[in-house]
Amino acid sequence: MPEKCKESSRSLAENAQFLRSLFGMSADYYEKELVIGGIRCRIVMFTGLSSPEKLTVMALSLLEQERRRFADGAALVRYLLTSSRIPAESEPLAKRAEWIERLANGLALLLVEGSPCAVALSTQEMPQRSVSEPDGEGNMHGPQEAFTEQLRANISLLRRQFRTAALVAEVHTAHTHARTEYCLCYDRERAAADTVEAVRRRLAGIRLPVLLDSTYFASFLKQDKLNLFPAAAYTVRPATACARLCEGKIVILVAGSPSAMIVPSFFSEHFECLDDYSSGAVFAGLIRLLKYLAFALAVFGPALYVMALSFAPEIVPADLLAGLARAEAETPLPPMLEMLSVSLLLEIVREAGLRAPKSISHTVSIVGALIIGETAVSAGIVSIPVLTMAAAATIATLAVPSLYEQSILFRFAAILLAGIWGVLGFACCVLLVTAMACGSDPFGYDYLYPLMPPGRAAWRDGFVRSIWSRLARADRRAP
Amino acid sequence: MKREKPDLFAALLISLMTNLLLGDGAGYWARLGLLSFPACAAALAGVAWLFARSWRQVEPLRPVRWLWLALLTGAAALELLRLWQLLCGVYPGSLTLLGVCLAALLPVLYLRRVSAIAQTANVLLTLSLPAGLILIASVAGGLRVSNLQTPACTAAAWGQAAAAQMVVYPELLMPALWPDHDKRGPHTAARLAGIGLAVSAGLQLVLELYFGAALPWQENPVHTAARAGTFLLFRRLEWLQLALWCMMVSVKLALYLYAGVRLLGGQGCKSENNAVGIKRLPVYFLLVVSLCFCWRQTDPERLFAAQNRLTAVFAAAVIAGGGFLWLCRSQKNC
Repeated sequence: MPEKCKESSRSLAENAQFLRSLFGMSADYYEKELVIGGIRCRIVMFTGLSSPEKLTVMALSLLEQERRRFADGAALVRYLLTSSRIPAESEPLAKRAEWIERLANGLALLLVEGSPCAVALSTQEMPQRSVSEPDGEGNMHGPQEAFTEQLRANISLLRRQFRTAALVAEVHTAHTHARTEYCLCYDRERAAADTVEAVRRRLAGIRLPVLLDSTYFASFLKQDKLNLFPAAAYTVRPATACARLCEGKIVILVAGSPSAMIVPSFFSEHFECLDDYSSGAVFAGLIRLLKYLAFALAVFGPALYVMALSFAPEIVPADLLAGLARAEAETPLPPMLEMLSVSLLLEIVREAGLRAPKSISHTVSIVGALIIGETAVSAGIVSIPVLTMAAAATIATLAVPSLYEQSILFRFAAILLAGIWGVLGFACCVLLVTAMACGSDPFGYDYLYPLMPPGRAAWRDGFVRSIWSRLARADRRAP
Repeated sequence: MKREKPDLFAALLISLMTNLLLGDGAGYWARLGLLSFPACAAALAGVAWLFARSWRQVEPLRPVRWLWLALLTGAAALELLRLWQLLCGVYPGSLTLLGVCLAALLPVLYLRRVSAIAQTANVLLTLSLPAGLILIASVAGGLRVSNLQTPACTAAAWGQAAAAQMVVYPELLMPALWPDHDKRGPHTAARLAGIGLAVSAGLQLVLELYFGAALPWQENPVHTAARAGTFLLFRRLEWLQLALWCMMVSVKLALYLYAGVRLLGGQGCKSENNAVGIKRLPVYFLLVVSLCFCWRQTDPERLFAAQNRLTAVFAAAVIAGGGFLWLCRSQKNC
């Protein structure tokens, strides 16, 4: 049996020796012997996670003022847990594994001579980023705060907006080497009990070497691993997470990650944002329709261009066709290869701009977009229409950022298929994407709900958004 | 919304519509067709319902199941051949038969879940509505009421129209294979036959308004109309219709695969939604492609007519056999 799984001893020296053997080499490990009520004790903590000042002010000085004496260690532990005013956890910690877990969580441990149980004192003081505005997910109206890396802080951000007893925040420890914590948040009145149970069971069964972000869970929650559509949605905004909780969804927070995962997630949610509900229904509806159009353009626009020029010129109006044909005649590559190479180049520029240090990322963009683009056209390597279409598709991709990966992958597939088989290949790709979306059933729900099959719900809060009074009425009718 | 039991009605309808869109016309005049439509729809629904009742009796007989499986595989190959022929006519030299088979069967990879077939068919059905409206709008200038034919309402003409409408497509019989068919009653058959024939008669009416007396001589009247139509800026919009038809064929192939799996005893799967699986796809692909290559020299329309006759004979045999078995069992019970 490993040492840390063993039961603790009654001897203070032995218990202290055990902890010293584990953490003694670490610079942030702090221990101090002291006497409380006539009993020898030892306080241990990590200085970066727990504050000695807090410990002194909140616990030790209080104990000193009380001036009580105890017969033995067990009596002191009992007093601290039940009668004292110091901020101690209510349960004694008898297992060494629990000690390690509490220390890692930033609590201070009080080991007591003659007692096998330690007392955990809440003296956490971890360095943390303050709540700031989110980098992505731009919104003009509504709350402007974002999740941070602190799990407890994130839970509190949620609870601050969700002020009912229905919010449940279950904290679990993942089966990872680092024993990372994650939290399952849901509204017990609105979330389907079987879905919560299914998510809980699946998350509990996940074995990972490391868990740095909630996205790591995504592939485990997918039913069809071949499906490219995401099984979950993500947000860094507590307000969005809160809105999803109200819809009966489950929010998963992971310690150390500012990104919350939302399950089950539907296709239409990628086209929604908080501003939709702040602005007027007509404008919000228009913006949503534009986003659907942008997604279609991002995925199928370049393929349609390739198909039109290579196989079906009748698609293009005669006046435009003459110009396109002239531009194509001046370039050496066939439209499919031309479009593929330009799309690839744009992706490389984007990736370089994203990964490069901020000081040079602007240079990368300028070199990529202006110099390479301009010179490629001047040299006759690519035509202006191809460049225009590829750029339009790339910009359209950014209108639905949560489907960025899918847009890029589908776009390349569409260009290839349309370039090889023309109308048939284009149809094949459209059907592939549609079938993928239709075949995805996150936790037994229709991924295309409420868009398909088309019904009243699709027009209430799907393709467009209805007015608030109707949305509220529908919400009241919902079980 | 929870996905409880996927309804394949839309997929069956799409599959039925494919028979009309890729073929060389319904073979009747709209006036007679519209008049005989209620009786024919009722008769077809009756056949489908009787078949479903009889199928329960003959289902345990393995040769019958294999026979239907062979019919379905042949029908799938035939559909690909018809599509290939159509596409070769539009884009000569750009597509091989293998390419058409690959492109049409590739999406089946993602249509292996029953819910995916059902929902994709819903999407296609929704898309077919604006596509149909665009088709009508694009030929609107050429639609003439004077083109409507007024054939004499003789018994022979009625018979001809009824015979053209009374085609027993495999899709009408397929609901008998679905696991919960017994609970649904005759509604599915009635709706399927009714809507299928209504679409056929409606399409025939539009085509007759456009082509007039020349309609019977058109090789693929729907495609010819789509090719001739102009809409706003666009001179030809046939690609839109072709793309939609290609997708419909893929859904049809996926539906046939699911029906085949049911015939092979797919009930043993953990959940019905995953009954098709990915393992059977290569065998299906190989079978269908082999048949396509065997039949590539034959006229698909002749094969299609033969397939329809065979399906009708098969349905009649199953109804007769099922009835006979039911009588025998009733006698034993007495």
